[in-house]
Amino acid sequence: MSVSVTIVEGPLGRYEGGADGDGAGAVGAEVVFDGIVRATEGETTIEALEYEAYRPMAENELERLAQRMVDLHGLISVEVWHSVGRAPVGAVSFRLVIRSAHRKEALAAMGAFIDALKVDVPLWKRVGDAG
Amino acid sequence: MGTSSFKLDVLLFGPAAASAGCSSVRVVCDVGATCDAVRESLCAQHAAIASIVRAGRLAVNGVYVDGATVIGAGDEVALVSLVSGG
Repeated sequence: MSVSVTIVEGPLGRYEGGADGDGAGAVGAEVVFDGIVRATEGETTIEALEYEAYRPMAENELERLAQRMVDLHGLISVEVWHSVGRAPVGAVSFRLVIRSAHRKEALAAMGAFIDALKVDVPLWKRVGDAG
Repeated sequence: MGTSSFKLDVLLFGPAAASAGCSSVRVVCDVGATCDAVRESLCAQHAAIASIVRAGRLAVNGVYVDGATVIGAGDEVALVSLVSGG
């Protein structure tokens, strides 16, 4: 059971993991969520979002939340990446990768994690300046 | 400000920082002030962010605290409100 949290300056790159499992044959499901910057915020057309974090509290809260998901849902691993700074439209700014023995617990944990993130983790976004 | 009070800089982020126009505000608190008391002082002394203070939580040294927690002059206090990550 493992958790990892990475805060990245700027957009995240492509996901280069894969469903190769953990080498021990325990992983039966890998669920990957990529949060992508949309071209609109409400009625406004935007070019980018700017993310701000209160570090290291944001990292600690993400780790605590990931560990809670592992404990509650019996997950094998949770990996989190989140951008800070500027992320242009189309870029990935948030990624959550959950691995478990079966799909049901991974899918349940995915929704629960994101809901809690939007309440507890000190991260903020605003419309970015034209870059 | 007498010896029974102290100055506390509260960190601001996101909409709170935008409303205040700065990344921290100074608040005068009584020695032994609880988290709830600091929030009340913030509202009274910084009206521009009062509604955000009421909607948010205070973190002390990077951890959310309850209203009864006593805050000291050496603590790092942050207003965490209207978070929007993800």
